[in-house]
Amino acid sequence: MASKTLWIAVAVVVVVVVAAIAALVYKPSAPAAPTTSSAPSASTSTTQATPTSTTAASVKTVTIGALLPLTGSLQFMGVSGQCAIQLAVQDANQMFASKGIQFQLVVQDSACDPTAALQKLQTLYSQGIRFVAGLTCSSELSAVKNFAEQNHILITSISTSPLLAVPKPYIFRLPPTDNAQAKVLAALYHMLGIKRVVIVYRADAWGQGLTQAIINETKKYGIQVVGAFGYDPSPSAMPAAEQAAVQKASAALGTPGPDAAFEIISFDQDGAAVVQAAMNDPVLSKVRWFGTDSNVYGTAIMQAGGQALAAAKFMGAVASPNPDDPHYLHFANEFKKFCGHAPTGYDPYYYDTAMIIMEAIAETGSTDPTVINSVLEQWGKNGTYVGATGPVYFDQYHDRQYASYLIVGVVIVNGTPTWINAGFYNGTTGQITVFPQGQALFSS
Amino acid sequence: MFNMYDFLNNVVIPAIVYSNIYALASIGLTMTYITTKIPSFAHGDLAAVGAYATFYFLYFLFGGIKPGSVYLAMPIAALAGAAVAYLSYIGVFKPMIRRGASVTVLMIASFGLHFLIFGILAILDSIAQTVYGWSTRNYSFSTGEVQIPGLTQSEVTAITSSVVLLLILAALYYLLNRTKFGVVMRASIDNAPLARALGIDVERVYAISWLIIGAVTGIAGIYMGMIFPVTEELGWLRLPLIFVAVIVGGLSSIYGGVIGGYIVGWSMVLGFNYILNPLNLPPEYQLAIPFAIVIATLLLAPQGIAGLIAARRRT
Amino acid sequence: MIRDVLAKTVALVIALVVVGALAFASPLPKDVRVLLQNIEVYIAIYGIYVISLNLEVGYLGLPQFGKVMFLLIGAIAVGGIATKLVLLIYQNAIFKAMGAYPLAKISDYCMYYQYSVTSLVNQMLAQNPALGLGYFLFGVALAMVLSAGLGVLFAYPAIRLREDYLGILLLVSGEFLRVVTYYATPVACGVNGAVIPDPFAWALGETRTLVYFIATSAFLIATFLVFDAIGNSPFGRALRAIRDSETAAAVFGKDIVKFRIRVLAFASAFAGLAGALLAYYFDYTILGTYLPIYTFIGWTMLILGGLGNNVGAIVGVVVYYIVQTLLDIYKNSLQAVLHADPTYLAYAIFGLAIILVLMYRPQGIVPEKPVKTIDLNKVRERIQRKIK
Repeated sequence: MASKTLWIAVAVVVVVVVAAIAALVYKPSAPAAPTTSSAPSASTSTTQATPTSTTAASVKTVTIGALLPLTGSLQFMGVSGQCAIQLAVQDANQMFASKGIQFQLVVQDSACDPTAALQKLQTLYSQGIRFVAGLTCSSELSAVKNFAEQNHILITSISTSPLLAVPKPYIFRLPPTDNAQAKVLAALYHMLGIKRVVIVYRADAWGQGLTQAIINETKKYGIQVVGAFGYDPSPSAMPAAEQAAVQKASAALGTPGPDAAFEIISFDQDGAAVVQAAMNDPVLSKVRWFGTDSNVYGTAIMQAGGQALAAAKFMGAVASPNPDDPHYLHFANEFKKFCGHAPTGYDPYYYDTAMIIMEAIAETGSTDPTVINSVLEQWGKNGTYVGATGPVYFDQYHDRQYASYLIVGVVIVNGTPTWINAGFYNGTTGQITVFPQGQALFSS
Repeated sequence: MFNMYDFLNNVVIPAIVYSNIYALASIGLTMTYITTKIPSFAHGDLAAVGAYATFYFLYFLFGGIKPGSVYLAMPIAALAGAAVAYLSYIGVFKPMIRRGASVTVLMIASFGLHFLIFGILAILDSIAQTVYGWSTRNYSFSTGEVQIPGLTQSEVTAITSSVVLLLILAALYYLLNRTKFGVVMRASIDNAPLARALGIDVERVYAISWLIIGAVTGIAGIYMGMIFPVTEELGWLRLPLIFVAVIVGGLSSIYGGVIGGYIVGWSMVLGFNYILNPLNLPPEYQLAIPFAIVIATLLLAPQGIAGLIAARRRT
Repeated sequence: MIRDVLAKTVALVIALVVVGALAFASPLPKDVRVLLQNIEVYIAIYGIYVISLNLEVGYLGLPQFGKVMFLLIGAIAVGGIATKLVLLIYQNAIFKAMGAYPLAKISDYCMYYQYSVTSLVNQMLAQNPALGLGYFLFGVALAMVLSAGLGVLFAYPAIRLREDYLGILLLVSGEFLRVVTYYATPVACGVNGAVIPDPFAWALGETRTLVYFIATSAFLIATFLVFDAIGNSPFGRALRAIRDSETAAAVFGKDIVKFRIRVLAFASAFAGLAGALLAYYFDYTILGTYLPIYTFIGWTMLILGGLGNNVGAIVGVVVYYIVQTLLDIYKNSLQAVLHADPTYLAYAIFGLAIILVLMYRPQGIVPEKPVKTIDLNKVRERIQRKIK
């Protein structure tokens, strides 16, 4: 009797050993094999197949990883981000072909779950991957922080949570923290003579952080946030939470007026539900509306209530160096061709998370994460890297420092509501310049 | 101050829409339960299959979702759902039942089936996205609803979903009570060994019921897609509440499933409007309210709501 | 039977020592070893979780669909309560360094200062390993006590409700608890998640993983020993009797209510233990992620391995992790063959693998065996032999 169970236990050990050996056997083949066999078939490139195969012998292949929420509540960000990162890899292979470097991408699904994120990062590590782009949720970043630091894995993330504004070697965050955006919004309120603001926000780390930042920043101008109401953003059983938050916001604001404003801290899809609820509200439909970098340029929010957005003179701020920045325009163009839809929210940041790593590797010729870490620190000081989101400066915590924002709004053009570039916030001077086409939005 | 318009807009219309969605989804799961005894985790994926069949049909035919067009696609959604449900019965559950798999094993197999269907759908979507440039995720069928002047989209959906639910119920009633197949099927459900002894091919009956399960759930997928953003997880994310509806409905007849759907739908909307808001609890707790109601119901009425109804009928 | 349980436990210890040696002291390349080390810790933690689930599902037939609740309780005990206790102990030192008491304004602490406070605390804990150990054991014990308490609470409906209703009640209760605790910031820092001081802050790098491997393995061995002894004891036989026929068991004088209360309390306590270990190991926890999927994953591991025996429970966990990890590593090679999105392809194959295993082994990889007590006939034979 006992012997049988012993055999089973022994079998378990054998299976584990076999698995370990399988992993071991796989390892050496990882960097070598893909150059010839699987590179042309990878989803990253279809057109570059010919130059790759001819120069295969002298080409050095570098595999980078991407850890994205491809399932779960943030799937919409992850899928779009995956496309942006694939585009970056394709671009990099075109740009750096002359340097004899070929990039490959391995994508893992983190599901925005910190447990899964760490496990997948460890899997990537075991495959010899030392550069991982696109980490999305701040909870994931918190979970992988120590592992990345200890094992020297360079990670670029799009998390914006102020909680992670701490020293974090090997981790870089591409979007500016929420405080920068809050500064712009507060300046914008002040310029338009707004004294009372009511906020509806996604109740996640991002929404809460930005809300808190706006409350802090508006105090400096004597603007009062009369209420902030969150809604559960998980794609749950009932999307009525946005509506309830809007109702509460309406009650908190009480009376409309030129000194009142409604701030929508949402992404695109959930923002659509907020807009639909607010456009029929007797109070909120009579005040100015503001958005964030994650819902301006959105398609769902525009589809849900473009007319209402135009009527409410909806404006939001997107970190951008220059209204007609050729880098962004180029990216937007390419992205549309490659992914089939216009980039929204964080897509340009996803692109840059991958591109900045690949550019650093190509420029230095090093694949040592410690070297690349110091290169990025240096680049961050000088703004050497210029990507889809403009020149990238990092502060001492490896967080994006970039204070200039484009102010984007909705106006009616030829009868259809359209996103326009209404103004520009200069981070160094704190001045807002209004563009001619944006005059209507800034008039009272 | 009681505002009739607000009450209608904020309570009645959403409650009807949610109830109909959960009722449609519950019919299928109840049938799965009373025929093959599987609490299937892959049930939500049948709804996603229906939604994606609709999407691809409309895009290949019209290149987009036009007003009213989802009703053209409804037979396609039903067919696709039925096909996948049939295949999952023939390919997975039937052989396993033959090998004497227990209910829990079938349930975990359905969990595997969920990953399989989800994965295949997601692969197809990724291909369609790259090949045709369609954004295959996070779209909504609300633009495909018929437009009736003077009515908002959710009012129209409340009406159409009710009509569809009633039509399906009528069809099922006719099938089960007025046709020979219905007699055979009810016999197989009530007493499978006896039915087998009488020469009824019970497995064939089950296979046909799986066709019906898939068809109804595929249609439910279209209505889910009018309220929730469509992804491959459209049904999976709502599965806990579908289970609640089915269990509350009593697991005995498909009409119980409909009652369960209505109880879930109304308790969510009422609990949300009349418990959460007056108590001034933060809106983040929205999901907790329906759950609390279900917990309270189960604790106070251990036989489920349908049990209460059955008890009253008996007395 | 005792011999049998001991033999199995010894086999488990040997297996753990072998894989531990492979992961920590072998000539394998470092990146492979790092992966193995971490997977072994996960397997040990999930092993505890699934063994405790097995007592409820496999032995008693309880439809435990709220299992993730106890992982959540473990996370709250560690990230919500034990962490705050450590902050209280060190609050004066923190005040000196940062000019504020961490718990004075909890929302600011959660949103801005968690990392700076925790790195201070970790420095101090590194100087004081004894306190670290005390803090570790406190969190673990608290998780077990709270979970046992919650488990007993569910004994009340477990007696009254029909099986299906009980399953749904447990599932829904788990979701209820998750939503409520997640959005209540003071519990464990809500949407920001709680950063947890490391009880073994003195151990760095690979040593830390080794400490956790030893700690989790020790807990796994203890759990296995206790649960297997229970499963093969008269208590375990009574549970199986209740599972197979409640009425018959009641007729034979088994107090079903008492059995259910004990099982729920006991199994829940160990699931809470697994939750606490998970939280400590990650030194971070966010309550919103404790979704029902973790219950289903536990069930899948259990059914794959084989319901109703603890060896099967561990085998299920191991197989699950091996399949998942191999798929993650090899999916890009698969893509070259099948030309499909590798991530989703991995999901599809994973689902197919579950179905195939169950189709060919509906009883699981290690099927349940008859209870390990001596057959009455054998006893008679032996007696007769002795008489002769």
